[in-house]
Amino acid sequence: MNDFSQRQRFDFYVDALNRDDMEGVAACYAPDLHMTDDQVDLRSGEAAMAFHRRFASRLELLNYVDRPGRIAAEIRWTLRAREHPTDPLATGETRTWASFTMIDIADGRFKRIRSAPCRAAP
Amino acid sequence: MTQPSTSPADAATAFARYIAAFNAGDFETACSYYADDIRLTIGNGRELRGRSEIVSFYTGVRSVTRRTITVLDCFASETLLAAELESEFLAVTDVPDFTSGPMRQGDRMYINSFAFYDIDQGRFSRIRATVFRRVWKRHADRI
Repeated sequence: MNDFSQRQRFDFYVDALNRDDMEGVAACYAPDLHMTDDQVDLRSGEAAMAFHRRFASRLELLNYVDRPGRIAAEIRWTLRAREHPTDPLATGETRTWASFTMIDIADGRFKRIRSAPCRAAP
Repeated sequence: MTQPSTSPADAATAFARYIAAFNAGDFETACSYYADDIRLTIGNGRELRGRSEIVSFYTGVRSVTRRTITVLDCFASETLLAAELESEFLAVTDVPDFTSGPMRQGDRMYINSFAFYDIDQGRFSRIRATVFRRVWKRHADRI
């Protein structure tokens, strides 16, 4: 992953999630990743991967800007629940929303992902 | 310089000036950063259109709270600036209908927000803010 530019790394991540390439997604995450928004608070790369295994993700990138070590992106997310007995979404049910997401990168991997739901039109 | 620069390298400096004007209640300076058709969406989704509506809204906010915005981070391209902000609101009177929820005099609220600023010909044409975290510190809790 270190041979990638920051933008390439991010595009790879979005593409991997959209292709359901779990190995590719996992390669983007630091072991001590902290991923949080108003719904989830996941404290490791492993916990984030467990989340991805419960929901199929579709990401549409609406805006992007970065500086070394940090990405800011506007993303439209669609999650579709896979079969899982304890999830609030029924199997196959989808939820779509837009967010402003800040991603901190260290040593070529995502270390912190923070998302806030965006109520404004894209 | 009273307008945002078109150079990403200068954007942070210009943005700091804009926020300083906003904190000081210097809306004439703050508005000089806006395009004529500025649209500003606050964290709860309400959209303010045009300089006068923005000034009217924040004049109202300033009449009942002391608000201080701190820029935690800011970076930009030619067309988009992203910022992480912390806003502190201190209620100077009871505000039962405050936009984020009722406040009593002395209450403080902190909002950690992410905001995107669209840049068109060196001015902000659209501002959209999202709330990442909201923390209340009630006056009664500190007594």
